[in-house]
Amino acid sequence: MRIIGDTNIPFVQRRRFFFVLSAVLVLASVLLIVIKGFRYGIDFTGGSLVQVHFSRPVKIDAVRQALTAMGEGGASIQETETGDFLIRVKPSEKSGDESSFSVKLRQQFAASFPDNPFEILRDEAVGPRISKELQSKVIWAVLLGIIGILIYVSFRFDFRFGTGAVLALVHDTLITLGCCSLFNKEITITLIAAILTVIGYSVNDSIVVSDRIREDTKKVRKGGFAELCNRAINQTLNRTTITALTTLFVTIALLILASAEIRDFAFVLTIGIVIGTYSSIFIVANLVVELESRFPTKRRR
Amino acid sequence: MRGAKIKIAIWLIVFVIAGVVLYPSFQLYVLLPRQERSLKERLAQAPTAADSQRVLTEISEFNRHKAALYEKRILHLGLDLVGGMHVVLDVDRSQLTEEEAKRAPELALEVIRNRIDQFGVFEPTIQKTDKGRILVQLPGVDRERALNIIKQPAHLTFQLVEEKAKVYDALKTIDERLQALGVVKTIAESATTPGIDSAGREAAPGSLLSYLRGEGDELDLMISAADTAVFSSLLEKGKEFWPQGYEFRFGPVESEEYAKVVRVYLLKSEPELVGTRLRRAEPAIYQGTDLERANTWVVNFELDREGAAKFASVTGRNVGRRLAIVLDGVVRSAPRIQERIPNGRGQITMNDRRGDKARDLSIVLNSGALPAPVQVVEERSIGASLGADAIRRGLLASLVGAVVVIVFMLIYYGVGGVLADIALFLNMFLLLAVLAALRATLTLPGLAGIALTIGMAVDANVLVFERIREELRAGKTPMAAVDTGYERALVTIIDANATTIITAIALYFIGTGPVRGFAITLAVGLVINVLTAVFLTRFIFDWFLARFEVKTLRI
Repeated sequence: MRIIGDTNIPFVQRRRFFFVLSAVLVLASVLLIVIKGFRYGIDFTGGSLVQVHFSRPVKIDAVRQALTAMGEGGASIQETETGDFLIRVKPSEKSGDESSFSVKLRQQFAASFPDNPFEILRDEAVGPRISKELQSKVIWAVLLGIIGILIYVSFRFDFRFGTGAVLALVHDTLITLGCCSLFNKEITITLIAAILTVIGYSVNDSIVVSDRIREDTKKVRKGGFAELCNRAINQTLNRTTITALTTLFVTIALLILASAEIRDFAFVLTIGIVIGTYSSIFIVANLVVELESRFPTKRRR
Repeated sequence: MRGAKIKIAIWLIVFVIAGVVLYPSFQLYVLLPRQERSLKERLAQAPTAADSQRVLTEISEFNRHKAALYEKRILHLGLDLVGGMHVVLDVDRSQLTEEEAKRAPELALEVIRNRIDQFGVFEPTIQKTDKGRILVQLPGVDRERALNIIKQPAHLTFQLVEEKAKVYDALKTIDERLQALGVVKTIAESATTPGIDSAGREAAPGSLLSYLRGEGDELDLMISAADTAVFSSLLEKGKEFWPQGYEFRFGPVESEEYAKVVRVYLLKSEPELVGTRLRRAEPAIYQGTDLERANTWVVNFELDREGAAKFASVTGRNVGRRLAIVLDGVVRSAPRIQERIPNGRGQITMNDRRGDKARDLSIVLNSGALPAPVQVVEERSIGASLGADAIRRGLLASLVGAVVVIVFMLIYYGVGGVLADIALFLNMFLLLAVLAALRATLTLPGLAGIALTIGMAVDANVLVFERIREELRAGKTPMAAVDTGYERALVTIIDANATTIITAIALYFIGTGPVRGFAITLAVGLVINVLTAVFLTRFIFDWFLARFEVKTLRI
């Protein structure tokens, strides 16, 4: 069985259109990120997060009252679909003991809801210093990842492909981040993990196409470079679509069935894989063609 | 086919090893939990303290067995799956000299490690991290108890206690002085407690005396637990009027018939003895004649030789007086010295019917004092039920994803799909075995990582199969097509996976806990993936073509 037969779609000839489309998407994402920004989780802002489950249903107003009584009226309260409450507070002004909020909260809830036993399902606290350190760690990790990829690709291919792959990954990452901002996803460490995975996937996809271009360069002599690239995209089209499909099967299953935290993770992966697949078909080779036409290199092989 | 037998043998050995590696994990996560549940039920239903002690012995037996199992190469489940706590502690060095501050993290680590070892947690992680912090990870523990054990400074002193009448007089004096200064008056305006002291005598509203509870017993003055903060701040204001060489201390919160109360003590500031002389502390069931304490737990302690000698002389000199056992500034008990105690043994009574508190206190006492208080700078605690739910849904989602991929591959590639699916199964099996052998931790994102590798695992096969199709269309024989297909795809497979592994390494770098688990799972998954796709499926493919002498291959 085959979904896509032998094709000869003129991807390269239409490259202007896709460049414009991508430019619009990237621009929109950047604008979203700059204007709307992100909702950062406590990993990055510091503070406490407590998830409480009451034995019997409780109104959100009652929870708010209890929090006000303990002097935390400014806490953000969110009710989950399972009727639990997610309570978040900013870090205390003076850096001190971060477990104190949850201790106070337990006492207060025990007093405010004496005949309704509760269970603390999750209890997280991140001190302000730790969150700062984490921020710089994430930046380092992303840089390290990108530099590592750049070195590997430049070493295995030549610099044109390296540039194409890296530009594509920047393109994919920005659009994925834009979607996170648009859908108000909370930026946590787990989400960063998903974004790094998207980067890996994006390059993986780009490389398969680049690999084919390189291979064809060695044996096919007829036609120009642009035509050669177009043929390579068409040859790998089947693989690109099928791999995207199988991976999407899994991420969509996670998106629908898994628990809340994994669902955000799966959301980023799903978006990232769609964008990554798009860019490896419509952008990577086209970028290489564009680079080649502007800065022609002598074919060595 | 040449070498086929050897290849089969090698793969068989690999899978037998993987099975052996995975068996202890299977035991641990499938067989043992059932046993544990029944033990816990029996403990909860134990009618008397003696019964519960018997079950506790059985539990510790079971725990030893479980701990021995943990020593083996086990696939660990992360805190986000089993529940438990992850804390990063910082030693508060502000009160220490430079010399002490240098050694403090090391000392604190040692003390905390001792305590947790005795606490009996499986697979605790206790290590120093950057900037002199201490990371403690405890799977499946009760957060409050664990924090108590970890954070208790455990500074133990023995101090002489003043009699009730003298405490009353001291409080009265402070009240009078404060009143003269006008402090009490301002407090009185906001006071809600009526101005009557324990004996029903009138006291200035808002004064120290007015907080005393009428129900105070013969030995000590008491205040309501709710008033402790106000009372001690008031005491603090009059600190300069405290009797020379004495200090006020409180007892723990006690439940009297109608209310929670706290005892107020006046102690000699200079301790008679400090807890560094402690040799051993252990929990026991109260054996004395006090009916109130029947069926409760106590902590028996024993001092070392030097301590015992000192204890003997202190008790000898002070027969008839009371000696307070003070832990971290809280008076745990203040028994009256009946006679000289020569053997250095004593007892801390506790309001504890289950034995937990007595056991925890013994642990803390045995491990010695922390060099300085520790503070929690980061904490992540996950309740066990949340973890269980996350596992259930994560597994279900992964399973559904996997089934869809498997079915898709079967439909799309036919024979090739069967091969890819076999490879996928073996992949998962090997992945789990390698993770177990690495003693890696399986976390929630890790589970997602496995699911993701399922999706990406078939990529290598897809690359190969698409290539074989191309070669077949170009008119090659099946044998030749498979050969070229694998050869051509190999380079691409390696390049494509190498870059993803690079990002996994970057992820490992930022990761604490869950993200690290994901990074390891992803990296290991990809490596195994390449190996099975390149060697295993190829071997099966070759064998299949040779065995059935396939003339036309449809893939």
